[in-house]
Amino acid sequence: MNSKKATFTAFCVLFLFLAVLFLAAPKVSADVLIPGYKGVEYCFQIENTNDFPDYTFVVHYTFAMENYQVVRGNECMHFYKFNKPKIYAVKKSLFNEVPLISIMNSDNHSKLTEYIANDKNFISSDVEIESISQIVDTDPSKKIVDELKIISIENDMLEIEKSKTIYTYTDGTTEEKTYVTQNVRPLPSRLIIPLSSYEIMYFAIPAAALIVIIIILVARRFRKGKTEGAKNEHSV
Amino acid sequence: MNIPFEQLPLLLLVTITVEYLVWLLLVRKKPLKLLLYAVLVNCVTWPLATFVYYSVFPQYFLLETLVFITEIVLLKLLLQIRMKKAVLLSFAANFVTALIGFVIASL
Repeated sequence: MNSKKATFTAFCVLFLFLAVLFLAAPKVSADVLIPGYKGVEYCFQIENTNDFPDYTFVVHYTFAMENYQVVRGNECMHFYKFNKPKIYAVKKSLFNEVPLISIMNSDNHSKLTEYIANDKNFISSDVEIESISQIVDTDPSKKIVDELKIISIENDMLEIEKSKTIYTYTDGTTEEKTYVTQNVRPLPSRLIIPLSSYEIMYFAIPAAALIVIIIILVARRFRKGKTEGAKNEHSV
Repeated sequence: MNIPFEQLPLLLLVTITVEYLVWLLLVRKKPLKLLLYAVLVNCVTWPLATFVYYSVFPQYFLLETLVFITEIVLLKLLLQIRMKKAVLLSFAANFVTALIGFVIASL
């Protein structure tokens, strides 16, 4: 087999393998309890609202079943899993809940977005809170709490960071894990993750690629040895 | 675990394409073979780095450095080039992909 043919064959085999892997992998739906997973309670809380006594904090739940909630101390806020919570700070002296209540009493809850967007007293944060409703069966957690920390409130910016995740296990014990990266929730130490069929791809693909690389290198060495052997024979 | 499996084929394909174009620009020979090597090298490093980042160790720069070193070794072996050239190819490709990643993330 010449070099071009070998390259072409290697390509075909590799792409066929990848195509089969991707097509065979199960697709995950967001709204179905996946086999091997269980439901988990999730909420978030703000740890230091008391450090900002001049402000009222409001959570606007957007996207699905629009709603709002005024934060009281460090209470844990539960919400519908498809909601996208957005946190606002409003000067206590300027906060008026009556319009919010009247919108909620009306049929059109989507007016909340418009109202909050137009009210210059609402100072928004860009912290992204991701709900979690399902965890793997082997995860001993029964409740997950994200704890947020207010860093600062400027004229038009409310800076909030995710500080830690508190896992409550089924035996009643808790564990706190600090956020290292804001968009990646730290995992509980007691979690044993059995790899699902789609997660296996993350190892199957590198393994397959490594095998092909080794075959190429071995074949090259074998060819080189053969050529050198032929040369030696010729010179003798 | 919030690994973007749905996006894996697309993200992997983008990475392979970008790294291939960078290598092609710097090597300028045997384009088909270079493409095969780009597919193979990225199929080794990208899925592993992504898995580790999302599920074990979310340290971008450290993982990017490990990918950079792994690619140097693989490039040296596959392309049979000098270490200096392998370092240059790996650095250029990973620099460009990281830059594109940052631009996309900041959009």
